[in-house]
Amino acid sequence: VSDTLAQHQEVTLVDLLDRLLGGGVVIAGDITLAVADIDLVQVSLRALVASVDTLAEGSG
Amino acid sequence: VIYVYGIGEREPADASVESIRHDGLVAYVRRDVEAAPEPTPDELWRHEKTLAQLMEDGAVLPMRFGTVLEDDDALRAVLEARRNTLRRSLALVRGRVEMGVRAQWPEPGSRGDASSGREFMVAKLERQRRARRLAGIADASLGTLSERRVCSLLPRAGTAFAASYLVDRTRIGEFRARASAVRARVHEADVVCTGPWAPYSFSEAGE
Repeated sequence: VSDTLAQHQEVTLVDLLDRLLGGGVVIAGDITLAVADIDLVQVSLRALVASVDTLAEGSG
Repeated sequence: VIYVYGIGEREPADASVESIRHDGLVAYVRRDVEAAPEPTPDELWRHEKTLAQLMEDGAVLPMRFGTVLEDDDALRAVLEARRNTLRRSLALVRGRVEMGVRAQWPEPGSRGDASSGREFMVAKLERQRRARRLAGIADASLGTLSERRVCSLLPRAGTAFAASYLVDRTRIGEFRARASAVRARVHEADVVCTGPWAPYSFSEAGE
């Protein structure tokens, strides 16, 4: 099972991003990421999703 | 600041996770941070793996990645203010996990060959229709195995739908088997089943 997980780890990064950044309990009024960091998050995500897409195409 | 992984009902068995208890609720935290961690793959996986471990011992509501609070008092105030909602949500996810199912089309979603606005709209509607149909095929098979489900159509280019199902732990194998059957039946898209995940999509029972 762990082999399978490792194999699919890059692809499931998309699922991970959807859940960790789009789901979960959200606390109103907490100290979340500073405004400057939010841009950083979005840039990182775009890079991640792009690399996942590339991997998916490459493995097809 | 303290980083919050999630909220549950039991003290963590894992010694590397600290806990803060308030009125029957237990928050799982990490104190070695100075700010919210950056969403690198390593940090994201750390969040998820910690929660997966905690879920072995009991019901856990995952926090959204990057949740930090100023101190223990701030966390207790949150637990106090939201204790009824949190308890309801914990009751919903107890003994259950989240399973993910999504369908990927082989070609990129937009080919850029629509010559007019009208053709673009027609193509878009056609994609929506196909996505809804695929989600329906999956749900007809998987929906009866789950307590709750959420589905998002066309969440990004190339993805027909992305759904999450809240499934009893005892039925994970059955869920995967049915997802495999759906995958075998659907030819126009690649149906991917992931999980078990912490119940990220079912953490707000009040909604």
